[in-house]
Amino acid sequence: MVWKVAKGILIALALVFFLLPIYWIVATSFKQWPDIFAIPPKFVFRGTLVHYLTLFNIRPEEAAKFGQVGKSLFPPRFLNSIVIAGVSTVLSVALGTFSAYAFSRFRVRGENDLLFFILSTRMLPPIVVGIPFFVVYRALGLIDTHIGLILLYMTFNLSFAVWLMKGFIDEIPREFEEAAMVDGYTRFEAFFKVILPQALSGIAATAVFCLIAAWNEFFFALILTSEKARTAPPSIAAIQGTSGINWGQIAAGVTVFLLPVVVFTFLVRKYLARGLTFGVIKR
Amino acid sequence: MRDVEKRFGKIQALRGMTLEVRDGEFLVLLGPTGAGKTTTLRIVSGLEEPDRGDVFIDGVRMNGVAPRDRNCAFVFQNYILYPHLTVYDNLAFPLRSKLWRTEEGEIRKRIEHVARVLKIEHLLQRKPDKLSGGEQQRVALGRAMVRNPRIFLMDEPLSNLDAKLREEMRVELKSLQKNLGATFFFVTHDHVEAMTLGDRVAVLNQGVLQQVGTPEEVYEYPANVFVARFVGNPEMNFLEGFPEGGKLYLGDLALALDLEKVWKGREVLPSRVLVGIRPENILLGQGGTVGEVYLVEDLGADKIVRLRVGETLLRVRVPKEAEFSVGEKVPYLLVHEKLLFFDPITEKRLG
Amino acid sequence: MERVRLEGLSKRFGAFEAVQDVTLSVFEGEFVVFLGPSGCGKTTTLRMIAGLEKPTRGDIFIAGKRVTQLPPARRNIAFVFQNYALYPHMTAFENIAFPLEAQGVPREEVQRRVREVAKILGLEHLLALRPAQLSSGDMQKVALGRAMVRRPQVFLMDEPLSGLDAKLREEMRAELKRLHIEIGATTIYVTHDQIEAMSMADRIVVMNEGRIQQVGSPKEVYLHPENLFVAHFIGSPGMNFIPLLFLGEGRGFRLENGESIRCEAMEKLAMQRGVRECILGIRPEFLSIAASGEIRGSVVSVEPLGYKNLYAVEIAPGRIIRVEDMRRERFSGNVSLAVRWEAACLFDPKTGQSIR
Repeated sequence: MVWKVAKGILIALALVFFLLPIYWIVATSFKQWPDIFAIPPKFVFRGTLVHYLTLFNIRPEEAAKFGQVGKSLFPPRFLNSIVIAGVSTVLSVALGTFSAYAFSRFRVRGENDLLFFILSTRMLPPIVVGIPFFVVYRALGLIDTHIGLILLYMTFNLSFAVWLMKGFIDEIPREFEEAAMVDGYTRFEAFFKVILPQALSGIAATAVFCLIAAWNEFFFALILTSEKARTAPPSIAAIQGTSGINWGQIAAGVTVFLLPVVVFTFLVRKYLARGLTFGVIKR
Repeated sequence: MRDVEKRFGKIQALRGMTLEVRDGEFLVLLGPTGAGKTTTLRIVSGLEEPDRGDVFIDGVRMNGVAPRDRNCAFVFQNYILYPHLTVYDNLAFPLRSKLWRTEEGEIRKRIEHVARVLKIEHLLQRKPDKLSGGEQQRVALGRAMVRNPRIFLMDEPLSNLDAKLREEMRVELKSLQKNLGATFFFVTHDHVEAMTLGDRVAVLNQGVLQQVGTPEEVYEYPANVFVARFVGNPEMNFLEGFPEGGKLYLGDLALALDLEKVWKGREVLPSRVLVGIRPENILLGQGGTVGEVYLVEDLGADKIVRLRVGETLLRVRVPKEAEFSVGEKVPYLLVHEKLLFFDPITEKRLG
Repeated sequence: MERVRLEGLSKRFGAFEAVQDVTLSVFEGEFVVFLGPSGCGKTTTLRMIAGLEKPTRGDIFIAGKRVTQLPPARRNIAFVFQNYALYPHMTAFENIAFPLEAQGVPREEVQRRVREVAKILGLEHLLALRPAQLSSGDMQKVALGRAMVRRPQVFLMDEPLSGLDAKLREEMRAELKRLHIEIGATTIYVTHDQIEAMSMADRIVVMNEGRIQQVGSPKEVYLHPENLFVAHFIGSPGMNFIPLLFLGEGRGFRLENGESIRCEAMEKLAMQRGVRECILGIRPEFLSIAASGEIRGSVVSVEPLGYKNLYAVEIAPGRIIRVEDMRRERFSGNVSLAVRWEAACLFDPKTGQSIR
């Protein structure tokens, strides 16, 4: 009994520790201007939607009060984030699953070297390749394009996807597709009919990781985009008014920015729980 | 003529193997782990290509033909039911492929028929993980049956079942094969399964075919020492024998038998032979020489006595009514006609 | 003398009653085998005796002392695991010596006792090897040696042979039994293999669904099973069950196919116990194919075992029974079966219990 209470307290403390920053941001996004700066912080306050309304240009007339010049750029950039992170995730997972299947099932020459090579792209700190990428992208005309960032994120996530998916596919007995092949299917059909449904939990886990990585990416988005293809992270950081930093709107932007990942993770949580327990899939 | 013949020489797994499975036959391929049994099955099914040699099904050369075009059914050791599909959809799976494309009405009819034969009608809407081992086994068989394949390839399908269920499935499998009139090519490492199921048994060791014959032939006239040891429970007894001057001297047993009574073969025996005798062909309580009872094992239907003679332990099968106690001295007799002779170097049976 | 006593031992995992009310005495020098299908509670019982699992209810006594609350190390028992549980970084010698070192036995004494045990097990030439260099049979012997070297009050063995292949298992079975004859250590052995139980045990404890079904010598449980479960579980294949309808003394029993059979002793028993519906239990070897037997049927399949044939005979629609026959010739088609009544049992179909 004592243990149960102690355990409960411990869990509560941990939750407070981890959730406090999130609470802070969400609360700030609903606070009125003076309350945001109140010391000690106000836990009870009169809420307002004004930061959201200005963020999405619904009440642009309010924006000027906070020193904002012109329209909020958040909506198009948020859309960019969705498109770029979404497409790059789909591509990484799809290509990753196919290559992982090949590595898992066929005798690929130099398999271990290749796998290591794939992983090695992950070992490079992105900052090292920032400038070269900028130069190459400028030469290719990929600066500030959607396709440019999609390709980049896909490249970075692919290595991760291949490794993760190989683990999941290794767990699926070979006999699954062999049985299908004897039963009248081609290998390709067997892959879609039998392996893919089995690998769903792995795909979900991989997709969540890829999405989070692409969604949160800041550095390349900052240096490789400016207007057209700029994503949300650098743009939130740049929300400023003439009279100092517009904390209320930043908080609203961050809150909105958090939502898609939370929703997606929530949607695939059924698979995720199974997928994250790598290697203990019941046969 | 409907038969499968294959010849190939895969350097490690299989060496120069030639084997014919006849139409409507239950052929069991028996051997220890790593003998090449599963490889053989996979080559017939097309999941593996032979390095050398040919595979024929119904007289047609199958080399290079994709697994799906061979019309074999493969039943795997671990059943391989698709966990995301219901039993019904598992059974329908082969019939929904492009190759066997069947309309849903016909699929339903066939599945109902198969489910009736296998007594799994009540399971059709369940998912595989809700089934017991025996039920999963039946569904796996059903998936093989729905499209009437030319040959059923079975890779140790009973080995995941517990002992009791295995015995029951043995009888069911055998009568199923008879009723279907189908050709079964069945792989196992269990000699009891091989003996009881097979119309013929093929014994394989280290990729080399040792003997093909009816269960009785393999048991009573094993081609070599390996087959003699591998088939039968408990193992055959082996003794060193020295034929000399019309007598056969048996190593530790200090026993001299009249050679002409035990050796009916025409050729002259080498100066040293291996003599094999099955545990049921040694009789206790008769004969002139004695041994000491070392151990008695009650197996239920009969008993195994381990009899110590010199440094040799003989395994003797006795009826369950017989009572012996450890340490007791008992006379024993070898049934003369049942002695088998093997060449000590080639290990092949003589005569 | 009593060495181990279990009193009303029960274990519950959540809502699952793994072991229910097990009461049993194991005597000094006895080889007792717990036998049952997986999940019957036999391993849990063994683990409770070892102290690896705490009983929900009941008590355990070892050598007269109540040990229910003692940790495993203080019970003076040895446990041989299914997967040997040898330490891979130690040689066979060090593995065997390990329990002695834990007790602080002097060096020369350790040397002497390890060699002694190794000699009994025929391991002398393997002592310097590590587990990875040993065959599975030898690994099991080292595990046994580690158990023996401490001279415990009781040996507990959890399916020690199930990791071995069939041929080796047979050999080890005989060696283990012979070892027991020689050193006479009290042993409690758990297995799901009825052949192992039959051939090794002084007494067999048959368990199912957490309860003891029957305790007796191999011969008793084989010939006089107390209920249908024991009758079916022991023997390969198990006992045949033939439903009968008692017609009255002097009139015999009616079979499912409408014919009737007679046996005075059975009729008397049925009369005394006042039964109507009953189940005849008869082992395959007590039935034989005869010119004029009592039960008619047709052969479904013949399974040759080399020294005998095992028949599956259908005696009524869907009712298949097994018959052993020592003759070499194979019978087929319609046959009749002779019953050796002195080896037949009668069961109550409602309770499943033997009627005697």
